[in-house]
Amino acid sequence: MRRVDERGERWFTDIFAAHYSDIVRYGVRRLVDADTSVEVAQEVFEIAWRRRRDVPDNSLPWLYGVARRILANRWRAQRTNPPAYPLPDISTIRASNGYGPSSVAVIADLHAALARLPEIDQEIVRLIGWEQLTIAEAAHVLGCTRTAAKVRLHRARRRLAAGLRSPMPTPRRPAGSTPMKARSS
Amino acid sequence: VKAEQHIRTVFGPADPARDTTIAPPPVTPAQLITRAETGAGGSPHRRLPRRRLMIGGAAAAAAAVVVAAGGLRDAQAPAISAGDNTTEASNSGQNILLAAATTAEKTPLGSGAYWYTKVATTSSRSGESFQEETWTARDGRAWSRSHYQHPAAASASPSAFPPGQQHGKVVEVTQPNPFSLGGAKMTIEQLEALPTETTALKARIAELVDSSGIRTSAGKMTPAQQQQSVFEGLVSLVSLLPAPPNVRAAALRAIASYPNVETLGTTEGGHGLLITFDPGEPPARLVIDPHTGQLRQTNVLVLTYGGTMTSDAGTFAVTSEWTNTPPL
Repeated sequence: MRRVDERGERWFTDIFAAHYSDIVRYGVRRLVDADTSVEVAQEVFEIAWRRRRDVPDNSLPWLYGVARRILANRWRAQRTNPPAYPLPDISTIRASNGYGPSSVAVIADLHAALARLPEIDQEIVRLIGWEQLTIAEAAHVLGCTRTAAKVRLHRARRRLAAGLRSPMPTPRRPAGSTPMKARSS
Repeated sequence: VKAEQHIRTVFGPADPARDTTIAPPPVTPAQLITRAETGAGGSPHRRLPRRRLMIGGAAAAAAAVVVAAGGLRDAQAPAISAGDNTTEASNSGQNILLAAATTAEKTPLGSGAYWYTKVATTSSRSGESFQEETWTARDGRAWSRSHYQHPAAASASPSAFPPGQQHGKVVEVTQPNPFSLGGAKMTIEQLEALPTETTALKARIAELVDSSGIRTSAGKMTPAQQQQSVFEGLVSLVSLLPAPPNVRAAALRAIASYPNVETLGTTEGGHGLLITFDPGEPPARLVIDPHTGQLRQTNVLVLTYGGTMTSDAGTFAVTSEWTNTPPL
């Protein structure tokens, strides 16, 4: 194991080279705005330098965790919420992924189904599906236990499956139960 | 591993950055180290993550579940009810409140001999309607007039009135406290001296709630119930209490700071807002008049003398103003 004391400019240059683009992508997936993603990535690495003694050897989940908190603070400061549809510009997705027009609707459905999950469950799905982390790494990013992350992922998969079967779901409840504060409008 | 792989297979194609080419970084690692050491270029203040405020129900067990579920959510997480995808709307709900605060602030301090309020509600279920008007003079004398109408009855039902009140007649009422905020007695002068800064105002209301010693059937108020009382205090400042414009503005800003404010769009009398505290409780429904910054409709009503009314079916239409017209 590398000794933490030895972490200097060389170590920092290495993790920066290895993970800068991962952190920018993390932002792009959640922000729409590429310029802000670049800003956030720089902020993440400044923090990584200042806290270099705390950064684990597997640094990427730790860096994602920092990025997540920076984004949360920005949204809080601007009194806004994360965009419900991380990047609803379907034409961009189609062009960059090489998927044909028939899959555009599928992708839109995936985004819509994802947007209906609680924020933390969305984040687990994104971390595993897009950032390709393991459950244990995702748990590290979110600061929860591996078991909690597993339970959330399981629940998210179930809800996503239900959401994808019915693109415009209405909250289902057993007949005769009290409707939960219906959001009538 | 199977679950991880499944998510990747299904959601991979929807990854917005899957094949995005990332431009080379505009800074070198050495430059970032310098920035980090000198603090130039924006130092991220380390803020404690604020947990979403959860207002629990009366049942302790239910409250415990709510807190457990809520503890994992960040303050600005979108509302999470199934089928909810109105997170963008929530932003505009806050903007409406902030704009209303700016309007309220510019309103001149009211003058007049009487503080007049009118509350009217009609049950969408039974069709019953109820209206109460009050006049409070600056010396504390107060009058009230009530109307009650049942669709089935040609005339009013006298039994619906508190003793001493008559249908449609103005009566002088003796109230132990003309105005109440957070369960504590308030005079007009005390209302006028309230903090005009959001955090200080909330803190002051919390103090009043604390000192009023309100107890529920289950004993002392839980922290969640205290928070609910603070919120109700803020609503009463923008509805029925004679708060001066700058206090009203601060209350609107404080309401805007609650995590889940959603807009319902333009409705009768102004702009509709839905504020969710607890997924298990009905959300507060408010209608704000953007032209005056005043609350027009609400389903959470704290009467001037401290009683709380909730509408089971519909909202209360609210009017309040200073007037020189004496009670008729």
